[in-house]
Amino acid sequence: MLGILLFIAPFLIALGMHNWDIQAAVMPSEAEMGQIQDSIGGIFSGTPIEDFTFSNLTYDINTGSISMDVSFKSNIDLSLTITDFSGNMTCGDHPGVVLAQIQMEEESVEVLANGTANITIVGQPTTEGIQHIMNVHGGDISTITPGFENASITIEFYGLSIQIQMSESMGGP
Amino acid sequence: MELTVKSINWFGLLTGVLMLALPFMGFWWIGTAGTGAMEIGLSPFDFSASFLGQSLSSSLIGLFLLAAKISMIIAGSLMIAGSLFAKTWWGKHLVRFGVMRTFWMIIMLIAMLVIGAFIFNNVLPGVISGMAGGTAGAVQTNISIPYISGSATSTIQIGTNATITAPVTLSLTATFFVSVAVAALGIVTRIYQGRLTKPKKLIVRPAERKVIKVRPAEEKKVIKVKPTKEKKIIKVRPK
Repeated sequence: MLGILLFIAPFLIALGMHNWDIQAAVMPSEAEMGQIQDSIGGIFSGTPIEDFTFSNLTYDINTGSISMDVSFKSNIDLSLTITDFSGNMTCGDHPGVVLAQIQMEEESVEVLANGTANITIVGQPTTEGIQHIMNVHGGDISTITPGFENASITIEFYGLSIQIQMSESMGGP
Repeated sequence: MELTVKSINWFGLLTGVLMLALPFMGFWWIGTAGTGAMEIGLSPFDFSASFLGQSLSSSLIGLFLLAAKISMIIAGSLMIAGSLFAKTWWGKHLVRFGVMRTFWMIIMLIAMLVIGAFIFNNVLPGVISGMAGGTAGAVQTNISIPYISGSATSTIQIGTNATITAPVTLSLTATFFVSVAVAALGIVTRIYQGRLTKPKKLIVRPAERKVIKVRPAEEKKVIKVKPTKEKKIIKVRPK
């Protein structure tokens, strides 16, 4: 009798609390589900980060390295950490010319929920790149519109790692 | 109804005390993805789930678990009472009420975990694709969840742009192993209870052979009954 009572009573009470709607009694509330969907919406929409802007492209002859500031916007409603940015920098005006293999200078960068990230990328120019800068752009790297090839950015939040391949849809070059 | 050391089912007493403590000892099993991206704690008395820091709750599950907790406390109390008076006719019934409860709870939990892992590995990928609202192939998942306990890495490929990698760790807690000990003690209690209440065997010695001599019946004596005397008629003359 006691076993039956303890089995039936929760059913009746839970259904009674939710106007006999079994789905509402079993499933988490819409508010809880809504908050989760808001958080992960940016990830599953395919554009977790967007609006890339590039500035201060410089070539230091003394160190022989290229550096550039990059900023972009996060579409994820959670704080996250950028742990990697790597790939090939190309000349936007002359596709196929790889100027340098670049990577993020910082160890990691924290970005607030839906915030803007600012990172610095550095790289050693390739022989082809140096020749291209000198011969085609007259040694003035500031005239180059940077492009990227096989570039990816890795972000982390709550121990999850998301590697994003850069594409034009993100607002990249 | 005398309380003596020999009349107590000590295994049952210990089992009862542990049964009372078990609902308050926390989760039996914990599963995490990442470092708090997804956390699930589970026991027959408690359930906790959170996703990206947002906790999820269900009224029905919460009430069921409360009922299980109440049921366990009642069973533990009856177990203690029954074990103290194990030799009484009612003590046996009280002990039996909850002696196997923990055992069956463990079996149900294990079954639930195996079914849950199956659903995560085989059903959830489709659900995630549905949540993404994309066409088939837009979200490809390779979810690998260990059965019951272990570690694995799951990946979700969203189109060609993003790949999510999540380390998944599942583990049984110390409380689970306490519950296994309680279940084992329950089985021992049941066996011991049977011995306590078993009626003592009567030692039946083989009867000694006695030779009974039956004397032949004595010869029938013929009793001669003398015929009664003739009735005398007394005549009473009227005065």
